[in-house]
Amino acid sequence: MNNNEIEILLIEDNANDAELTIRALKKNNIANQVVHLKDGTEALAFLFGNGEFEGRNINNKPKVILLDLKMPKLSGLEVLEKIKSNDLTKAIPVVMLTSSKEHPDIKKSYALGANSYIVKPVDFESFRKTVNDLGVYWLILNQPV
Amino acid sequence: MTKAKQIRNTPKKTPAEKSQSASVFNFTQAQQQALYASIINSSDDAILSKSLDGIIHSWNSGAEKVYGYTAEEMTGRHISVLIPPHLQKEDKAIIEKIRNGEVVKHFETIRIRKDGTTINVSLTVSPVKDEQGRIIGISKISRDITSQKKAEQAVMEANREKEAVLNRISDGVISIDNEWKYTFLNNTAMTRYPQGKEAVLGKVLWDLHPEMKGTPFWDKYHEAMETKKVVEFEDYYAPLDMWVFIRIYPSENGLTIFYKDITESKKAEHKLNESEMHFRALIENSAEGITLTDAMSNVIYRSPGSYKITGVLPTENVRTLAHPDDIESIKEKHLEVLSKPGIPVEFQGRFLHADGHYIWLEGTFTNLLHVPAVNAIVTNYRDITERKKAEGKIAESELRYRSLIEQASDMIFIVDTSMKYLDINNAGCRLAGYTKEEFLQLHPKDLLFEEDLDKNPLNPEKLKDGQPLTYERRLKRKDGTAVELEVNAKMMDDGRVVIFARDITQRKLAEIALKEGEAKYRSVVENMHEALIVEDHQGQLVYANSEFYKMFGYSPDTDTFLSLKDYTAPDSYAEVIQRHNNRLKGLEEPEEFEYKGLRKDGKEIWIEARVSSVMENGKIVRTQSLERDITERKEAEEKIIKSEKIYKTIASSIPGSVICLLDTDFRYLLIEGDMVEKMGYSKEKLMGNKAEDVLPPEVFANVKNELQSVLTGKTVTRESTSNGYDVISRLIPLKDENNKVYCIMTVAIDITELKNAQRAISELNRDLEKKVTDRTLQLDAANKELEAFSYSVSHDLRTPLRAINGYARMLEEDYNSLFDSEGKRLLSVVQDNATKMGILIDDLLTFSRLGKKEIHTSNVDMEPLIENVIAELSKSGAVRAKINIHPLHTGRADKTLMNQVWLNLISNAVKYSGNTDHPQIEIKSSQEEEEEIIYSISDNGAGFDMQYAHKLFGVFQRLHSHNEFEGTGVGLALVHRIIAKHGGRIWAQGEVGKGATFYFSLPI
Repeated sequence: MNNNEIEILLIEDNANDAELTIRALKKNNIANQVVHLKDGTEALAFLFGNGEFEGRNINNKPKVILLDLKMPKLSGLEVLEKIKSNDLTKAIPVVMLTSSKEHPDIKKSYALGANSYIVKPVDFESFRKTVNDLGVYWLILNQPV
Repeated sequence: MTKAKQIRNTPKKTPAEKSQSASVFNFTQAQQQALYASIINSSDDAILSKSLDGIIHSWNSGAEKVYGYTAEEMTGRHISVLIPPHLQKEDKAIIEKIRNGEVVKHFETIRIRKDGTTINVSLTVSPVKDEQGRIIGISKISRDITSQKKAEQAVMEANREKEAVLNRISDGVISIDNEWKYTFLNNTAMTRYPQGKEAVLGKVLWDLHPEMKGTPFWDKYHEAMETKKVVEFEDYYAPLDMWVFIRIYPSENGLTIFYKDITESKKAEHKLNESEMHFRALIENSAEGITLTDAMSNVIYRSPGSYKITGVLPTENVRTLAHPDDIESIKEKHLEVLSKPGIPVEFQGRFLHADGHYIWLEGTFTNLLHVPAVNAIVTNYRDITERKKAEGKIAESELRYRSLIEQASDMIFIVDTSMKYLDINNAGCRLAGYTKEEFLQLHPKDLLFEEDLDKNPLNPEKLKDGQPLTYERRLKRKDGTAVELEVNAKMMDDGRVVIFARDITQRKLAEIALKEGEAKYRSVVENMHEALIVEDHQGQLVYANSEFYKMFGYSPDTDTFLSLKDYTAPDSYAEVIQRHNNRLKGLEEPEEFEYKGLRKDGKEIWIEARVSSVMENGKIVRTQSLERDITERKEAEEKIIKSEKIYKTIASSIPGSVICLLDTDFRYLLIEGDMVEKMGYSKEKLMGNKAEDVLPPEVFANVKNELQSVLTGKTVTRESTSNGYDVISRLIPLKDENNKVYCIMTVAIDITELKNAQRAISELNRDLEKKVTDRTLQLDAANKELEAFSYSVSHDLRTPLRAINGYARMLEEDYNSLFDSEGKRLLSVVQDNATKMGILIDDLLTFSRLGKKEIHTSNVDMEPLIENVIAELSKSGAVRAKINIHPLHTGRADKTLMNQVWLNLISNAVKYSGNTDHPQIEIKSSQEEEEEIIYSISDNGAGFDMQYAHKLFGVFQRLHSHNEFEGTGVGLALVHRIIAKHGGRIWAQGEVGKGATFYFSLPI
């Protein structure tokens, strides 16, 4: 893990989905620096520089976090809550990744401070398009607070 | 241990004793010693041994207890420690005796304990001898007899006290033992023996007093001795010229004799006897009965006169029993006399004669219990049975007379010479309008009008010669009205006057009326409110007052020569003429009856008539009738009777009902119906009675106010429960033509079944509500599961699908050049199917979500909604069809869902008309009645076979192959579900190749 500026932090337990997401991001040339972490515990350790990420420069913050809702151990919601309740991380935009727009947790995510969500469609094209749109928006247009 | 050692010091046994002991116990010497030691130590007595010079050798545990010293303390010490100083010699004397071989037994003396207290002891001292028989020591057994001594002392003291008492009393007291020897004489008894006690005590009674042999004294003394019972007697004791009263108390030890000098009282008694003789003579010759009884009513004496009266012999000391009816009063008198010594109390009552019948006795009780010579209650009495019988007869005749005068219809009353009313009969009370009590308080003036005051005809002077006096007078009744009386007064021997008075008001009136020319009286008659009719033998009207003419509508001037027939209704005529004829044949008593009269105008009226006979020279010459118009009353009655008939019929023909009629006093006039008994009432009890008298008070209290409001013309409905029946009652006022309530009708209907059904229904409802709640909970649970399932499907199925699609895409992008055309085709089939499956899952989720979605209805303007949908559809693909939207009704629906409906229906229509040359779609609506709006969408596309119409709206049901038309088979199922949720219907018509029309309705 180098100290280059991290652009996107992807927190996703499903390796296939992660690969597809990263591919979609890369195809759109919007993410050269994507960090993929496989669960919430790892993500929090990364963000707050403890555990296996002891000593990491925690001021090197991602420009956007893509956070899968459904994960084993710490759920997406729990991770979101931790991120949004800490002064260090609460300004980082978080985009929730979900399998269905009907998911009841989407509402809760907004309540906890999520900035947006992406439904992971079966159709890869539309997924790529959505990721692209969001990526552009959050990485380029949105100014971090 | 020490004790055991000391035991060794006890004297050795003689060989003889030893062998004896050994032979008995077969013990060794040591064993024997141990045995003795244990015996000695278990004794409560102090057992010690000492040398001849008084040094103590052994000391058992009893000695420790008696003297308070332990064995250690006393062994080796001198015995004198235990002996009080003044008795030291005593011990020496004892030791001396022992030295001489004597034994001292039960010597009582005093010893000192360790604590300094003295004790009484009984000593038994014996020598201890060695085998040669020499005295070598002394054994001593002391027993503590202190408490025994104290008890003896107490007895002695008590005896002394008793003796002192006995000596102080004036009676003689002598005790003799079982051998008749004197053991005690008190001071009084000793006065007979100047020689002193020693000369008497121990001597045999009969030796000192041989003179008693053969006298009652001998007999009584022996009787007491033998029977051991108290014996009392009195007798003259000649040697002392003295009457004595003797009481002998036997005891185990002999007799104690108390005697008292009663000579003086005996003399007095004797004197009394003499005067008694005189009186007795008087009493015994008296014809009066005299009985003396004690306070407990035991007969002490009965005179010969008493025998003559009661048949009880003077010697028979039996009580004369009072008649059960008189017992109480006699008892009372008896108690009274007991509380009033010396005062005679009179009595009268029936008593049982010896021959078994009751006799009347009258007399006095006199309490002379306090007079010693008499000491009795003296009863003097005589037989008054005959007198009583006579009195009874008088009372009987009195009773007969009383009932006669009470039954008389004339007024009968009695005055005394001071003009005070003494008695009056019922008829008199009725006539005067007073109660008997009131009347007897009156003065004759109270019964006179002021203007008649000066002509009171009851002149006692005239009556005095015994001639009856007859006259007529007016009597002022209590209410101030007047009654004309014919009075007959007669003075009886005792000066009282019996007065018979007869009400002659009617006769008077008639007489007055008949006296033509007497204008004054005529005006009375003319002003009466009753019609007065006088008729002759033939029923011809002789006279009638003006009220008659008014009542019957005739004119006195023009309608002359009227007869009975003219003013009697035809159906009453027979009865009236019959009565008329009967009267003229000799009926004197007035009679009252009702009949129907006939007015001149032909109208019938009800008349109440009071008819009497007019006498002339003892013969009936005319009848006169006072008549009143009671038509109104009669009509009301008839009305009630008529309604009764109606209601009776109604009531008896309605099962489970009661119909009652009540008059304005709430009196039951009619009760009909099969519910009366069931409700716990009895027709007989209610009928004719007022509700307040026959209904249970709590029931009447409930209905009272309602009944009263019915009287004001209101109708009341009430529900009640009676005897387990639920009843609905209606209380209805019955009104006459003047709108006046004359009667109340109550109709009660048994609604028990209805009530039960209602109760059952509400119970069922409760059950149902519970079931609904339960079911709702189950549904909620099921919905939750479904939600979880939906989520699972959406996530878990889509994730692998995404991978398939995504990786296929990656394959296509990165390795495209390596595939030939067949490889590319295969890859695209994978992608297509994955995409299709994604759509299918999405549709399915939408469909299932609808199940739990609540609808929010509003008025939805359909046209813009449809236009939006078409715009949406156009965005995602070409819409070839020409869509014609007709003006549409606004529908009441959930706008979002309605959007979905139109989207699915229009896209369907577009899809299925896609292969047609000129696709055309028509959207219309119509309103059916006030109930629903029907929307329709028609296309000219592929259509469908009507025989599969029922499959159109099922999930995954498709009527076309994928090759023909794409689709998941969820769209129409979704529409169907939405419409159903709105309470509407959906259906379709179609023909293969000619298009289809889908209809759905929304309720208004």
